[in-house]
Amino acid sequence: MLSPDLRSNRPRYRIGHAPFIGQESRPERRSRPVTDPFAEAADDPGGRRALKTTLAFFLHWWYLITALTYQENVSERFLPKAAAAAAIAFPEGDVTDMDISIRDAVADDFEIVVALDDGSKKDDKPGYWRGIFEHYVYENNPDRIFLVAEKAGTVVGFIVGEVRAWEFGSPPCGWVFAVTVTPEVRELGIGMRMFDEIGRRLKKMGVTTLRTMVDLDNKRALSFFRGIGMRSGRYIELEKHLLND
Amino acid sequence: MKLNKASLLALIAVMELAAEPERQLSTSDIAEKYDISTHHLAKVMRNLVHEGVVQAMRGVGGGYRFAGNVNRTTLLDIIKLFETLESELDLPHWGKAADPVVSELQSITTEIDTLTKAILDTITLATALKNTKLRGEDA
Repeated sequence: MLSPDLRSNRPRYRIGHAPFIGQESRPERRSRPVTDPFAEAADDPGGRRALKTTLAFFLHWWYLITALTYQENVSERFLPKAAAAAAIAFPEGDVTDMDISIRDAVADDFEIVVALDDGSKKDDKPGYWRGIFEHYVYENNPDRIFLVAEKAGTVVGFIVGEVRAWEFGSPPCGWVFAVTVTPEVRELGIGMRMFDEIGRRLKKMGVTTLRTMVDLDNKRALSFFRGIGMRSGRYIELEKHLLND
Repeated sequence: MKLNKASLLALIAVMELAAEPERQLSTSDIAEKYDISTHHLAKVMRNLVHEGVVQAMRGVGGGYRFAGNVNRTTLLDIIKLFETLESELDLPHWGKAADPVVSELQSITTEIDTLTKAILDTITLATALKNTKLRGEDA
């Protein structure tokens, strides 16, 4: 089926329904004289009818061929554009075919992780990430998971999570507290692949629920978590601003 | 929270059309399927066309089709075309809260409205349609 862009550009007549002379759907043809010098020279009405029929026959095929050519032109004109648009959205086809691998983070990933982190307080973050690497990468604690996504050997995203037990009175559950994908390869399912992998590992540890917390204004992250099936849970985050007296 | 009728009809129509963006449906097609007022839905559809959410296709077999991006359009985007989703207490000076009681009630409703909007603003049509499909498979 034609894409919406193509649909609006398709001819007003369709193959198999090429109009004949005088048909309502072709006003430009309707205004053209249908008389022919050869027909005018013929005296007998039968000859005129035969000529008209012949003319109609040729015109029918002319419309048919024009319609076919027009459609081909439309295809040539718009399909590459559509293909280019698809190429922007999916540079290497379906994400399952892409050269994406998910692996445990290693010490050498530190700098790229800090660079990928799009948090607002950039200056404070290296210290924060040093602590995270210490506890989630170097310690090799099985309850703590730090994964990175690689595309063609380059780290393009990361996800961090762990099992937390009895925090806020909750039985052990999985928490994902950081996930990022570099803007150039977003919306290709890489975040979902990382989330699936961390979910698989956390499930193996025996947890049945995953939780996270997202800033109310972070629509992108909220939409991502919503998109992979997360919903408001049983715990409500409350806070109070501590004012200086 | 109670959505007004127009918002609800708009959400139904948009989700129905966005489920198959190539498909064209008339107002009566949608109204019959959900047993809703054709007249009311027609008014909602005119608004959706005016806002560019759906496109009206003329001619034989014409109807409406979804004209947006399911990954970019959220439920709040649709609802906001018809209502503000801001609670109002039926008080004469609502909105000019000089009284502490009114002010506190206003603060509570604002908190609820903020959460409501945050949820609706992060559910894209793609997510809602995916969940709808899963519900259909489970049923």
